[in-house]
Order: sequence, then C-alpha cells, then structure tokens
Amino acid sequence: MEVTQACLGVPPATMRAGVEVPAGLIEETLERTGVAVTFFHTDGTPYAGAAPEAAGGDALRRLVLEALERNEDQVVAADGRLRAAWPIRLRSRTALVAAGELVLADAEGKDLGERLLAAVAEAVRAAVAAAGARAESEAASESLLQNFEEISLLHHLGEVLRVNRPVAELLEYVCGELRETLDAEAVAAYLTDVDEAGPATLVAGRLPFLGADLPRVVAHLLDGLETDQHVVVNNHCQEDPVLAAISIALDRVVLVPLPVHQGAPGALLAVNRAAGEFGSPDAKLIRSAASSSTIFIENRRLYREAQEMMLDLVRALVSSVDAKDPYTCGHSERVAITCRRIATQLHLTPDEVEYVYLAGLLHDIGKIGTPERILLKEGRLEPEEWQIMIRHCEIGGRILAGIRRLDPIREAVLHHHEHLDGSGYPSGLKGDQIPLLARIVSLADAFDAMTSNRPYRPTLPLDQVRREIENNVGTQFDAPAANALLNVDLSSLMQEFMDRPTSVCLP
Amino acid sequence: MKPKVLVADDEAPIANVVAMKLRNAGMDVTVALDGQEAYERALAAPPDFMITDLQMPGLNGLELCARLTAELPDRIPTILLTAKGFEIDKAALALLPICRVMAKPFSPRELLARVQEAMGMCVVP
Repeated sequence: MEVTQACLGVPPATMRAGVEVPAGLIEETLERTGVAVTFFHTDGTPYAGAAPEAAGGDALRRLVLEALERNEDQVVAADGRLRAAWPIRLRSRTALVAAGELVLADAEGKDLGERLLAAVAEAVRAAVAAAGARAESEAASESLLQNFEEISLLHHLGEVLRVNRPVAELLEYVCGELRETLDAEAVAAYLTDVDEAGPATLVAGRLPFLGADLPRVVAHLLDGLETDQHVVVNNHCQEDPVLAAISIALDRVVLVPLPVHQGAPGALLAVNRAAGEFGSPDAKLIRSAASSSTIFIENRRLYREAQEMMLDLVRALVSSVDAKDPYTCGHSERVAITCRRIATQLHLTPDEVEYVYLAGLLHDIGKIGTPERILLKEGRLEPEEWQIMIRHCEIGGRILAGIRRLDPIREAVLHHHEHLDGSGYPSGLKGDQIPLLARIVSLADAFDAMTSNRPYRPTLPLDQVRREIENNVGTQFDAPAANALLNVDLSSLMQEFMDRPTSVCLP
Repeated sequence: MKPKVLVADDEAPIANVVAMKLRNAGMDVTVALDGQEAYERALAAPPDFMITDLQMPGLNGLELCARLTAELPDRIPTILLTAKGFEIDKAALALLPICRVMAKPFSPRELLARVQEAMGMCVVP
C-alpha cells in the first residue's frame, strides 16, 4: 500500500539509537499520510512529538482509551467520525497509542477510511519497530566492541600481574588503560592500605579537583553505596551539594569499591567524559579491572606475609647462633645488610639481592654445631680446635641441604671462607670456581670483623678498613665485589647497622 | 574520499568487530572471511590499507600479503594479527609492507589508532 511505503521510507537519520520513538518520525508520518493522527501515552500524558490537538484532542483520547480498555481498536463515534487506535509497544513503562480519525461521508468512505487508518497504523508500528531494532543492533555492536576492549584489557592485566611487582605499578597501568578505554577525563585508584605504606593514590589524566580531595570524594560516594550495590554511577554530580562543593567541574563519576585487606576502604573511579554519560557497560569494565586488581593486591599481601614469615624464621634461627656468642652479637644481620649493599651496587636483580641478603644472614648458621668451648675460647685455637672450628661451613651447608629453594644460599654458606687465590676453606676453590654469592658474603664477613669490636682487637678506623680491602683484592677478595663495597657510603652503612632489627644476645 | 580498508579474518566475529570499529571511524570497509576471498577482493578493488589474520585456511596472512605485493602496482600497508606467542620469521616480514604485528586479543581502539597512525591520518587523542 502506498501509504505504508511512504512511512517505511522514513530516512534512517531520524532513527537514532536510544530514542524510543525517533524524533521527527511521528511528524513525518502525519505529514506523509495526511491522516489526522494523534499520539499519547496510555497513562494519558501526551506524546511530546505530537501536537496535542492534532486530531480530536481530549475527547478523542478519552474515547480511544475506553475502547482500548474494552480491547477494541476501533470506534465509530455517534457524529459519524471513524476513530481508530493502535497501541505501540515502547520500552518505557507506558505504551504509546496512535489514534486517528477520519470524517466519514458515506459507506464507501468508511471502507476507504478504515483501510487508510490501518495502513497508517501499520506504517507507524513498522517504523517504530525498525528504529527499535536499529537501536538494539547499535547497542549490541557497541557492547561487542566494549567486550573486546574489556577482554584485551583484562588479558594484558593478567600479563602485568606479578606478585613481586609493586602495587603502584599495577594501579598505574590499570588507571591508564581504563582511561583510554572509557575515554574518561581521569581514572583514579585510591587505596588506604598498600604495602603498609599508608594511603596510595594513582591518577591517570587530570582530576577536576585537588588530589588531596580524592579521599573525601571517595568517602562520600562510598557512604552513599547500599550494601548490595557494587558500583556508583552518577552523571549529575552537581546535584549533590557535597560533590558540587568540592568541584564545580565534577560532572560524572563511576566508582567501584576496591575491598582490600580487612575492609580498608579503597576505590577505582572514572571521572567525567566529554562524549556523554557513563553507563552500566563502563561500570562493568571498571568492576572487572577492580576485581582483578583486588585479587592481585590480596595475593601480593599474602606473598609478602609469607616472605616476612620466612625472614622471621631465618632470623630466629640465626639469632640462636648469635645467642651462643655475645661477641658476634648481631654479626649475621650486619653481614646480611652489607651483602645487600654490595649486591645493589653490583646491579643484581631484586631477586638476587634478596638471595644475597639471606646468604649473609645464614652464613654462620653452621656454628650452631660448633662446641662452645671452641667458639667462645679466648686466645689462639690449637690446630685440632681449628679443624673443628672450620667445620661450621660444612655443617651450615648440611643444615640448608633440605631446602631446595635455598640452594644458591647453601653454596654461599658452604664456601664463604674460600679465598680467591685458593688459600681458603673448606674446598680451596679459586677465582670463578667460588660462587658469586659466596664471594660477596666472604667480603661482607671480613668487613664486619674489621669494623666491630673483637676480644683480640678493637674496631679499625674506616680508612684502614678500606686499605685492608684494597690490599687483599685478587688474593682474598673478588675485585668487582670489593669495588662495589668501596663505592658504598660506609658511614650510612654504619648508621643502618644501628637501626637494624634487634637480635637476641646474651648479656 | 573515505579510505578503503580490507579486513581478512576467518573468525567472522573478529572480522566484524574490526570492521565495525573502522566503519564507525568513517572508513570504507570490506570484509573477507578467508585468504582467497581477500586476495580476489583486493585484486578487484585494491584497498588503501589491509588488516589480516595470520592463520587462515588456504592462503595465510603472509602469503596473501606476499601475493598482493607481487601482483599489484602499489604496496598495501598491512597490519598482521596473530595468535599470542606465534613466532613469525622476521626476514619474511621485512620484505612485506607489514607495518605492525598485533597479538590477539587486541583492543579495537588500539587497532584503530594504529591504522590511523599508519595511514598518516590525524589522530584525535
């Protein structure tokens, strides 16, 4: 039918996504058909796009609503006018009704009129359905694209999540990527408990308020969060007096809580977007990133706790040696600290630095098996006593033999009395045969012997310690390790000794 | 003139998502669902730019790119999409007009930015 064709030919430009009845569609329909049609919602409110008095006005509306209640879609009024109504399903809570009327001249006119009105109705329904389908398809495409972005983001997030990387690095990445993906002015992460170092804030982009106000913004938004909600989407921040008082430029925000350790509050939030409002797909993406981050931060905390526990256990073990010998009290900890300085100076990896530190802590663990009459003897050791004394290297190696992860450390403990020229013990290894860790521990051990009080001699001045090290490079000490130690600020190292964790020492 | 882009991927959803992103950015996009189809479409109407998956049945992404480079007067700048961790012969790449290799899953936003960058178009941040 011609009328239907005309109506279906409504230009696509008028069918925009997200509009229930596309702007202009109804006016267009009226114009093209020449039939007087009016539109109103089933709750009686007029449809914004139609002139309220386009056809029949309130009288028509009442008549049509009554007919609809009786499930009729057509009434002929007493005055000889044909009135028809066509409900159109909308996505809002009220349906839209198109009602039209024609003046009927005679029976033939009635027949024609009915067909014309029916055709108009069909056209309106088809156009609305087409617009709806198009909007839905566009929404689906958008959400598909968004899903791809999300998969890509989460995939790459998985690659940067390493428990030995700092939390700040992860959050920086997350904020940067989210800002790009969401096209937001700023994305910020706020945590109150990161690495026990107090609150942490990371921002990608520019916040429309001072960074110092971020905790207030987060606290206020979290405060308004119902317990069963997981996200705040506020596209009208200026209507909230608290937010408006913080910044006149804060318009839209999406916030997802980051529930980290012991319920310490934190949040991931996106702020402002030039392109429009934030919606649930944005919130969903932030939530995915937030939950990955939360799991990571929690894992990292557990990892750190396990690390700390291991260190504490090692220290407890080591202090049992220190407790036997008051003169070497704190020696292991000082050697470990010196080892760490040397390793850092040598640009070893963080993992290697950690190993060197542990090797320093454990290097004398074998002395737990050395009889106290020898360990504590003042004056020279007899040759057979010396033979027992030097066994602490092998005993230490055996103590650690069962701990597979500490294998490099076991080697360092076993060989920490080897000299570069082969004159050391227990194996008389030379040069590169001595593991690097052992060379570092050996140097740090000698350094501490020179810088602390011993029964047989007082502390040497630092200048003399330097000369001693320089004089023995190549015979006793490894040159790179010695250079590294000589480049360390020795007085700051001494200060670090003073600040070291307390050891168990006999009075 | 809308830039003409050919998208070749045997995984239709990926090809369609890429096409959608580029069309939204005002490009004239043709989709081919295997290497042979892409080859024929490119010969019939040479595109300004090509995005192709590496692993496709029949003609793979590298072969497609090599044949088009040999048979068409103009080299078509190309972005190659690969499964993650898939090793590509660097020497083979160097002979072809492949300006970038992107591992799946990739971000459509980033892909669009790379296409615009490669085509020397103004990228609005």
